[in-house]
Amino acid sequence: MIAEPFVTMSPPHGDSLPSHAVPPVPEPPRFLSEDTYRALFAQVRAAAARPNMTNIMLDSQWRSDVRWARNRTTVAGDWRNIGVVVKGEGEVFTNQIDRTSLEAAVHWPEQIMRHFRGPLAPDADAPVTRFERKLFPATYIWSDATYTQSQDTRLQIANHLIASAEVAGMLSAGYLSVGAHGYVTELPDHRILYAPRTAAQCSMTVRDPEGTGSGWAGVSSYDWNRIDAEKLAAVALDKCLKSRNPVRVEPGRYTVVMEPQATFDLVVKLWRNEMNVDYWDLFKNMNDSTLPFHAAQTRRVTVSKYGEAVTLRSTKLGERIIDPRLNISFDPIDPDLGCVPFIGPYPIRPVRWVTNGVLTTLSFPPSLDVWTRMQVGYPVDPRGALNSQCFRIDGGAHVTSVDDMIATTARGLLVTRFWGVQLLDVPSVLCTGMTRDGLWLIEHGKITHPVTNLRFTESPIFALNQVEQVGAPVPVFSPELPALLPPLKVRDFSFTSLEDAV
Amino acid sequence: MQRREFVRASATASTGVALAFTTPRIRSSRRLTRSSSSAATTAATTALDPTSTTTLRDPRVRALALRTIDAARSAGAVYADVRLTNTMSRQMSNAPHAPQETANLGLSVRALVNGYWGWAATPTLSTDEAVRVARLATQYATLSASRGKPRAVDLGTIPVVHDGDWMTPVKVDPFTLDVVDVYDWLVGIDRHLHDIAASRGAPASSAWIPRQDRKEGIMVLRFEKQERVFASTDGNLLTQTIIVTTPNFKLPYRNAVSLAIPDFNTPVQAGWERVSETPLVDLFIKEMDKADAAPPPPPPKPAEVGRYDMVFSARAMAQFLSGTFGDATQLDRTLGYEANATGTSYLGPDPIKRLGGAVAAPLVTITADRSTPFGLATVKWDDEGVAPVDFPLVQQGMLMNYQTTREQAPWLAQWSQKQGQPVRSLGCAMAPTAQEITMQHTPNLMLHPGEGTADVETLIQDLEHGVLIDGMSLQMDFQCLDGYCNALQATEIRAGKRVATLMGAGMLLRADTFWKDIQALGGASSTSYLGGFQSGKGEPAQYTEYSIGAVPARIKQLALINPLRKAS
Repeated sequence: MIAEPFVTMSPPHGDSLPSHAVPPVPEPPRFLSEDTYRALFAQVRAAAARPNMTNIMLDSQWRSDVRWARNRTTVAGDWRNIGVVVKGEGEVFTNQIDRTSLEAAVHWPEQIMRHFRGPLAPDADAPVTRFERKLFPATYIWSDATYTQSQDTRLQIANHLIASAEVAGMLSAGYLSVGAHGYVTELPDHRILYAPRTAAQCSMTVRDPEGTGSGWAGVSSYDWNRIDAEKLAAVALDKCLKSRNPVRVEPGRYTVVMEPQATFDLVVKLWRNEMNVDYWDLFKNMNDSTLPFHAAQTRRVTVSKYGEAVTLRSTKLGERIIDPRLNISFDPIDPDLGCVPFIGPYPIRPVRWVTNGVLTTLSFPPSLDVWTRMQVGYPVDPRGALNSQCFRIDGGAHVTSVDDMIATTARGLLVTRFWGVQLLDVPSVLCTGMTRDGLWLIEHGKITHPVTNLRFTESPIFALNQVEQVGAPVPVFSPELPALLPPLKVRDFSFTSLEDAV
Repeated sequence: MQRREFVRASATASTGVALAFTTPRIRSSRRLTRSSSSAATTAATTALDPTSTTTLRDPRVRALALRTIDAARSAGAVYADVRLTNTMSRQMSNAPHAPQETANLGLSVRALVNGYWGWAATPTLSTDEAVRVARLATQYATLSASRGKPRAVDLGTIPVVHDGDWMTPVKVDPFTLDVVDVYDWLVGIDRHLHDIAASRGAPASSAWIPRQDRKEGIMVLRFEKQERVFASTDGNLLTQTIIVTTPNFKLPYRNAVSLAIPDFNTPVQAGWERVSETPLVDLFIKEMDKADAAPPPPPPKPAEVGRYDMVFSARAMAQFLSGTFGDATQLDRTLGYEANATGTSYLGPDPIKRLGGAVAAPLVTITADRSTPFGLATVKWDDEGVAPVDFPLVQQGMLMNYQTTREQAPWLAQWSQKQGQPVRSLGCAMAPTAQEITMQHTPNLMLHPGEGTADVETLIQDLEHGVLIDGMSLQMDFQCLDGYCNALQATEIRAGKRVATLMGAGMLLRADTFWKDIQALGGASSTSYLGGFQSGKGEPAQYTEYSIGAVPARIKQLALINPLRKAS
């Protein structure tokens, strides 16, 4: 819908003023306010024939960013959008929140349902699923440092990061963005819970102009103050310089020292589906079986006994599935795991997925109420939990630094990150993917040569069973859905072919 | 007789009659034409279709675009363009009857100041907001220029079109169809085809149909429409409407085989006529005849690791072309502009040096275009107002060009002049919607057929011991050089005969050697034109779609692996 001020717009030509005399246009809010959301919910409810059976999902967001390549910023941008999904009889998405658009989104599917099924069945007595305010944790998701950072500051930072690479004769390409979302969910009695959230990320790739070396570093957080951009630039440059003119090694089984980002890239397939790249996708795809460690759906076999019909009894709950030093958990009030306190109407809660290597919790699809209540008894039964897709892996008291891991390795490889990891086989979670932006040979406790990239074919579950040393978990580059991962030393990791790409 | 019963009864009639009456009618108004017949709907007979609440084909929108450009210019932009998009999609299937609709508006401004770009976007189409966005984009460009070292951008000049208008040549815009009629049509043809299949011995039960198909229906139709308005400080004012129709029609048949019409289930830039003018029933009967006459599929066996001569189907070749030259010849990518995102290119870091050199066997010619009918990247003007030209990427095995935009064209000036070509953008600027910034993306591609009349059947006859690859999932590395592919449909060939279905086959492919090792290509009649290929780049990532025309090919000595061996 074209907004009303449009009708009364000034003539298209002839009214331009010199730039110094341009009257200021008041800046509209960068994302929707709590009051606007409340009004939108009320409007949809009023329009719907069956308000208690109509779900509305609302999101609005702002992002401001700077991108650079070949040592120059290539674009500085600002982006805003709104998302409305009305799920009732069908699903309608729109980014317009005027009355006509919202009513169309509600009425249109209802009309089609009436055509096929006749008059609609009566509405439910109350909204299907709503939780009390007190069940939602107070998570760390807002940072003024992120929200108030000016574009000028971003450009200065970007140029500063570029300079270090340029001085060294290298080429830097990178991306720095900050943004904010207004998330919202409905509580009982038509109240809403408003959760504004900020997001920041910074990553860069430094390459040798001849194309013989490449280094990457990046990190994301809700809080810009938690991102040390200068350090990232130093790491990326160092990795680039040290990765030049790599030697080839034979593919085969190697002891690998994985930096935290590499650990994340490898194991993330256990948590996330490619479709869920941010909270909004997570929200939209809630009905899909994309939640891993999930007892009844696609990823089931990792945690259930292969070949058996899947019931809660046939899962590996209570059995050791990975190295006994490892814990996998999620705590919504961990500042480094700041994520939205709900998924749809469901509050997120602390979860211990794996305790000392033993599978202690499974995830379930929150939208399947029957399954949820019958099988798991959410939110009472601790065996089932909502997968926020934010997670932490740690080795408890066993903490070894990357340097110590290298020093204690007779022969192995140091991996910066993996790229293009894809699932090959569901039962074993066998994956394939490549190393990228920094791979080195370790010999007799020392890094001796940069190495040509390699493709691996390995299951993250196998790797997590071959752990020799665990480091301290740190935040990694995972915009929107934060994760804390340790560096790991893993033996017998299977590399299957050479990748000459740099 | 109720209308639905009528449909059911008629669907079982003979082929010629059965579908004629169910042809969906054009909506006479924006109301559901049948809503008045149901007593329950009296309260809400004015329900608007969410996709028709706005149109950019409104004279006020053009005025808004000009006003926006004016604001950017006044704020100091040396060059600026504004894009507005109204993007709609509608998906329907024979079951369930829950519609999925999207309607998405956007306006964004790109401004250039002293070689630096600023960009800003909004979902709100109002004068105030457009002016704000135009000033913000210009302000960001000005700031970037003041904070950065000198950077030169030469956009050259392009012909100015003050009032351009273009639309996908469709006979019927699918968004004008009565939705209820389309549902009835889907249900009708599904029943009709099932009845024919049942009369030929297909199981009446659909119990074996994959879960996903049961959930989504097996007659799925998706329509997309995008209205685009483009204006720039050059004086261009262009309106275009792109319409894409994607049928996905499957028919469960005997032996748990799911039949589909070859090359039909693919997105094409066309209207409802793509479906209505295809003799679906006759073609499905032909597929049933083919399935009945086909020998039983060769027995399964695990793939044996080794090197084999292989035949790739047209679809597999199109996938490989997309993953290699499709991405690798993006000029910005070769130069490192995507280094922090999807990666660079094996044709870099000095792409000019590769021009004129051999990158494929002499029988390989690949062209790029944005003009092929049905092609998903086909337009009259790109997202910078440039009228695209058709151009060769690879001619008789030699690399002839890269994909370019206005900013990128001068980077190839030396080569263009040597070739006697003007230094001009090839028209590859695009963005999925106005909610994303314009970038260089892949246009439609065509792998030209070889001489003669070869097809998959004749190509496999020359295999003493080889493999036929029909379907695959391909993943190339971050330089489009080495690829790993899962061969979803691989068949072992001995002495020209299909002897086994290979299970768990994977392949390691290397772009440069693969293209150079092509020994034979299918003839013109073996061409498949397929849509749905994606060009993905940028931070945040954005994806545009294009189509590829390809022929099957025979390639010597490719490495076959079996990645699942260690898993068992």
